[in-house]
Amino acid sequence: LPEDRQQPINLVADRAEMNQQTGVATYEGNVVVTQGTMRLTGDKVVLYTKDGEVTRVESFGKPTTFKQKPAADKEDMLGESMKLDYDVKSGIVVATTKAKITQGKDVLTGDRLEYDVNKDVVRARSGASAERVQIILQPKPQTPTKPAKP
Amino acid sequence: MQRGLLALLLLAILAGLSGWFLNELERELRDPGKRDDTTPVVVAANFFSTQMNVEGLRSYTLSGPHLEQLPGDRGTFVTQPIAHTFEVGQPIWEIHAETGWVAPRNEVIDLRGAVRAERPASTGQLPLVLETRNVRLIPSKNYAETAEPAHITSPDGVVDAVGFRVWLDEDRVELISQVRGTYAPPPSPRNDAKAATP
Repeated sequence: LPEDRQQPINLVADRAEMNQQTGVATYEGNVVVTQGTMRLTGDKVVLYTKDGEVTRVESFGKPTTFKQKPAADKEDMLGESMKLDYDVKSGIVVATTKAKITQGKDVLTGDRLEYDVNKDVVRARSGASAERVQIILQPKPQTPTKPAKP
Repeated sequence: MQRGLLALLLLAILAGLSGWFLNELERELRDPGKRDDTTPVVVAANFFSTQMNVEGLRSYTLSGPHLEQLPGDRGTFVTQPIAHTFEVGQPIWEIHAETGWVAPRNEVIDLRGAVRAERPASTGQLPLVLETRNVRLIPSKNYAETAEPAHITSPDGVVDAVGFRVWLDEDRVELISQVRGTYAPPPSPRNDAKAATP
């Protein structure tokens, strides 16, 4: 949700290393990061901060997963890949290597998928493996039409 | 004749006694540790000690209401110690503990019981408050560690963990297990604007 960014970031991990001089905090082992409706999981998550603000989040896992509700009236956006890279300022999440994005029943897979959190827009590109981007769209459930009056 | 014998005997006893006495005195001087080693060699009340570094700047200070240095290598015990660390002569961390033990040659300082370490904003670095127990400090390496639960508070948020290692001069903290963090949200421009409008 747009207001996710104003929520506190909660973080759970097995261990961590924080370096205040570089502004880099590395969390490892069953890492779960939540902020409002956004939920990120990974084996290793690196938080980059500047002047106390989180500017970038990198997540690695088998897979690392990302979930967020783009708007109150929309279904959750689920992303997974071997690596996620979230630039907080631009709001762009880049999923690379076995990337997959699911919204409702629609599925998108490819080597590199970008999801714009602010605009709820997905961009997909095949990578070096030339594996084509796959898109599976499911029919929207038909709204039952009222039977015609006799 | 008999008196001579008596005098000779007296002299022999005296010689024996003084020999024993001299032996005892020499053994005492050579190895004072051997005497009752629970008796402190130094006792100080309301002490303030400063450790300088090779550049002649303060490295750290240690103060407290009571100090007892035991003989030999048994170190120094301190009640309610307050330690201050310095970087280039500037105060950085202020650390309080219930009791403390300083190893000979100040190689290790054990801060025992509840420990609270604070780095104020006046240091120009991210202000931090660190609350835990039983911290081992190695001043020469600007290093501290504990295996106990720790609670770290900063303006950005709060982190809890069990066990940490801190490299003070590198500003690096390693949280050993069970890490739980909450980062405060960045101040949003909208909220600030609303707050600012009269």
